[in-house]
Amino acid sequence: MSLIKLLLVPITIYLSMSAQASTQEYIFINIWDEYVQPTSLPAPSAPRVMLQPDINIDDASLEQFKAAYPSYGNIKIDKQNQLMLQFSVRQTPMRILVENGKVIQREQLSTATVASKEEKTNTPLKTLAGTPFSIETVNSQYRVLFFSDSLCPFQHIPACEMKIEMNNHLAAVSDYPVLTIIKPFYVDEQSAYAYQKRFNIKHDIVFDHHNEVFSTFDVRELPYWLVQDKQGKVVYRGNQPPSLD
Amino acid sequence: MNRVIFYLLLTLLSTTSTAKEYPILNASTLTNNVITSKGKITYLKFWATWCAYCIEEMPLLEQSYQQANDHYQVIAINIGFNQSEKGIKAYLDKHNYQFPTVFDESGKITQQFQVLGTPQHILIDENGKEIYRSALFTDELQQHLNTLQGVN
Repeated sequence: MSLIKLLLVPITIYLSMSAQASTQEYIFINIWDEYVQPTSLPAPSAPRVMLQPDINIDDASLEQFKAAYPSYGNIKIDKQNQLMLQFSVRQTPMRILVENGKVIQREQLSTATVASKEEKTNTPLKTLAGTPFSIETVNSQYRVLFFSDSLCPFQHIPACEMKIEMNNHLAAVSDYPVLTIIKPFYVDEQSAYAYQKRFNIKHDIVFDHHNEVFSTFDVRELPYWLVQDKQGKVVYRGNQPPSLD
Repeated sequence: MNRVIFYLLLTLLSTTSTAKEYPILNASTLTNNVITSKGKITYLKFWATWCAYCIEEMPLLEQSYQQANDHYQVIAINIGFNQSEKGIKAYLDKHNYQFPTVFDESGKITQQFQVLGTPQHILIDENGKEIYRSALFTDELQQHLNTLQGVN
């Protein structure tokens, strides 16, 4: 009798473990939405895997998110969106319960809206050092405008680190005053300060709160240079550093 | 030995200079028109309404469409992720955009063109070979379109 019991115990444990192992819970979130609309996560109903779709994401951004939200410390990128396509996930946040490879439950999770830190009012432009900045008189203060993005390094800003380095060199050796303008999409002024520190920028930086400097000069490519003469006429524009001979 | 190195370099160069080639795109637009990339130079833009960079570029996409004059076709692919067909139609109507738009409901087209970010611009030739690809609307993309339009 005791021998049967001895045999039954490990079999029961094995069966219970294999039943659990065959059920998996996947939570798909979009970290860019989580910053403004955090997901209300339910208690796990099976071993949980947190996934970020492989859209507009890189390792650095994911690490930054994990640092801000430690409860998502195990989140991974769903490389090539393999699981998202396999489970037909087209919305986030989404909870998918999979048993033996088959989706048995699918639930759109709820979110809470966090008030935006960005002021809705028209924030006057100024350099990060606090000097008021005017687009109308930019040519009297600066000759070289360098349009950049504090999300660097990121996929939509090719070779940005190298180009920021090139611009720093340009600012150091040139007699022409250089200004860096930071794109405001998805970031706030604090990210511009972080950019300044990260890339050791010694020249002036303006955070373009309402994208008005970018719009005025019709700049859409990043990073991008623009050179004006003293009369404010644009004499160069392009994605390579200007020759200032 | 030198000859071996020469051929190795040649092989490497020929590998790296091979343009990407994509399967033919066959799809229906939001206005139920059937489109194909077969035999046509095609400018694809992958986008979403939640993508600020995409939205900023939309007037350029419309302009590229209006100036195409049958030299190339423009197809806007909404990637379908966190999107609804109704929402996209409302957005396009609001701005009176005319370019043909495909709603990639399943994400298969986005996968087919190996798109992992928005915006994404892909210019392909009549055989589906990639002519140019970029994340943002670059000067180089504009130059390619100008050339096709006969502006340059």
